[in-house]
Amino acid sequence: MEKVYKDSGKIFKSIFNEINKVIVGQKKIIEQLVISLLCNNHALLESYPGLGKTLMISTLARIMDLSFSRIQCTPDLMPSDITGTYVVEEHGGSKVFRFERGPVFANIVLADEINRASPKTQSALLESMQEKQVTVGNETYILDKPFFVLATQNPIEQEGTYPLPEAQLDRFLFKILVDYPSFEEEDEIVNRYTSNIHPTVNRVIDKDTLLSLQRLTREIPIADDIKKHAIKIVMATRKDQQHIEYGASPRASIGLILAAKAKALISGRDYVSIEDVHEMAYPILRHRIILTFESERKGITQDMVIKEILETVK
Amino acid sequence: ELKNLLNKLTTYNVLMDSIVIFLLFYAILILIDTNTFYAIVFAIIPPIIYLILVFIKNRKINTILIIEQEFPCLKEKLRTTYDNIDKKNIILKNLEMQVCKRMELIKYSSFFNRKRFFSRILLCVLLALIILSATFANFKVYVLSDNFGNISNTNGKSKGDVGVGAEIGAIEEIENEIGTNYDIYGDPSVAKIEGENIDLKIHPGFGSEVSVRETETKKETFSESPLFPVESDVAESYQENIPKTHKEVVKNYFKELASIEEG
Repeated sequence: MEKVYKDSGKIFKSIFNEINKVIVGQKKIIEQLVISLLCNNHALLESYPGLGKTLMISTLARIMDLSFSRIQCTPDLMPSDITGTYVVEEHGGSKVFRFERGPVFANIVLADEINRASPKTQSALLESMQEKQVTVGNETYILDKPFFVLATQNPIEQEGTYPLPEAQLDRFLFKILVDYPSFEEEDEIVNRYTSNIHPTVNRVIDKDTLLSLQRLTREIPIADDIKKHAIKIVMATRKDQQHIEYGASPRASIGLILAAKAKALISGRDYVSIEDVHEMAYPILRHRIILTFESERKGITQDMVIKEILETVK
Repeated sequence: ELKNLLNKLTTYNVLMDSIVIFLLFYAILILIDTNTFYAIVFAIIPPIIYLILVFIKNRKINTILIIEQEFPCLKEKLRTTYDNIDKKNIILKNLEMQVCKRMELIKYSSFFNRKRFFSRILLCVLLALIILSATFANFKVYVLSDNFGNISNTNGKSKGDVGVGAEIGAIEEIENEIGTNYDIYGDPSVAKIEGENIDLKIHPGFGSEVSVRETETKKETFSESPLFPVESDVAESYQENIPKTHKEVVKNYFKELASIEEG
């Protein structure tokens, strides 16, 4: 682990350089995805179609030598389509049941448009996210480490969907908002993907190195006053009666501090800075606070409320 | 070590400030002509309040933050190391090494605020001079008030504090006590025989041409001299020209006197 710690700066630089070969821009998004991986947690990505979500996460899986699977959620998707099911096989004249593993048995799982799947199917995935295991019948199957789920939502086309309930949203560490690229970025995208040359990526780290990095993340020290500041931010979401109907749970406090530690490690620092906490507050809190009707009517967003809280809390 | 040093410096600064506050209030009270004892007593109260407030404030002050403010290169590193001093891992070990290296470059003298130190010394000297001049040179600044005579309250009891106001006040008080109509030379002497006053009053200065009561010089009255020059006459021998009818009366008178002397 000492070697991994000494080389951590080079490792992250290599990861980002490799991803940039395929993905244009989106540096903050990629950084947040890597942070989610380091925290051994999951992320919810909200973006319009065609912004390279699948390409981004599949590239990340290839760089880290991790198995990748994609689940396209539809209203008729069944839980067994996610977890796996028993199939009947014939061996030497006798028929036996064999468990056929589902797409959830991968290191990185992309659940596309999770809000289109039925609540029953959603819960099957969410259960595996929480427990890191799958129970089928009487058998329990432990999922391979690391296990990372990137669920996506389409902010348009909400008709006929099953929005994730707040209790389930809380299981995601981050809610990452993906915006359209800038003109220069789109120009570069067009240049790359309208030519005959298809960029390829190389493997940068292996599974064991990633697991070591996950352990290192938790060992990053944090000062007591910065820790208290992070907790105060989360608690402030419960006290703001003017804009917030329901505030964030203690899971948000854990996530915020963990994400700040991962951010410090990626930045090459041996300590958590208050800027790390402030930067991570947005993806950590935006899906965990429910605004009042009046605030929504006025067009106030979660990010605006979080910004106000960060300015108020000392 | 740094924490101890900072605590000592803070204590020193607080003491200096307390002395300055005491001297300031004492100087103000002396300048408005307050009694020395009361001036000391009242001047001690503000420094005590200041000490209490500083004590309460210093309980919340984080020494580590003070060091980090002085040395930005240690920002957040020092307090992270300090808060995790009991934990051990490779990251903390590396962080400790970095912090120790930077702290070796720290000079203790950088925490000593020379400007503040000299300004406090100067203030003390200035206030001491003001107090000395107020005490020995009798330099006073009076607060304007309607009851001018009531500002000071000496009654001749304190030494060296008598000013114009004190004299007038003293005189007024004395006059109020004994009334305005009295003879400063005292009551006329009264003779007493065996505790009983004899109805005999002899005023001091009786019989002398000059009386103490007569403070004003008498106007000399001059008789007009005659128009004609004074002539001298030959003096006649003196003969008592008592009429014959009065001779008996004079004779009896002396006989009475003689009989009284014998008796």
